Amino acid sequence: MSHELEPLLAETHGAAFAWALTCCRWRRQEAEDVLHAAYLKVLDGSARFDGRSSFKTWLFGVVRKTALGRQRDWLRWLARLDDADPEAAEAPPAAPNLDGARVRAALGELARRQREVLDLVFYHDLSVEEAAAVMGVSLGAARRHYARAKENLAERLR
Amino acid sequence: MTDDEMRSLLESAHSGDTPPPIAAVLARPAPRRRPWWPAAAVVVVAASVTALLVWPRQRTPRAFVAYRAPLDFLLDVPGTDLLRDVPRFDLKGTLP
Repeated sequence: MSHELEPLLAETHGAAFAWALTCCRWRRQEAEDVLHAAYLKVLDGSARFDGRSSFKTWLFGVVRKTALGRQRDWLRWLARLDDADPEAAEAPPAAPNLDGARVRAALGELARRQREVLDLVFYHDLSVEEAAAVMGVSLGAARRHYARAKENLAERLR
Repeated sequence: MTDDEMRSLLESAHSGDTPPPIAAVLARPAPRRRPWWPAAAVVVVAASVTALLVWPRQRTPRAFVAYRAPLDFLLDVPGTDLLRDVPRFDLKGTLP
């Protein structure tokens, strides 16, 4: 499949995968499914990049929406009850070092938007404004999530 | 907690994230869509059962309407039909 956005996808692939993991609470299989579905949306044109933001910001928004869409699919949720994914059963999956696992567990306890804003700002080096665009919230709301997330994460890791 | 500390925490959380090759992600088979009709059937059956359970209760309770107190007969005095209805007279002005 040849597409003009493919080089950009390849360039941001590592970051997009890390972001998909955050959106899926580090369930690797689910993150790969989400990323696959998001890439298909980009390549078949059902998600269009209009250049109003950076490609990375826009792609992260697509990945986030795709992940949310999958989580809202109640049929998929019911199916998950039947065939329990052994990877998903570990919450969160083991990290190579203990600190990483602890931080993941603490992040997993935060509200979704708080977890997202911390990840976008401190791991993906986006500004709070760009994070707001990815999360589809106002700048003010993103700032509130950011402040609360920092407090809550610090409290959980104390 | 400083921003640098926060950054290093997030780095450690992502330390095991090795992405699969992009070609492998793109080559994955498209997710199989579940058929929609079992869900629709469940909804229709649930709605039917709910309607069957709720419908009779919405009618006026029959037992209450049919109830007569034991001393109701005392209210049936002779000539109560004159009080309930408009009396009809024949052409001569007498009660039929």
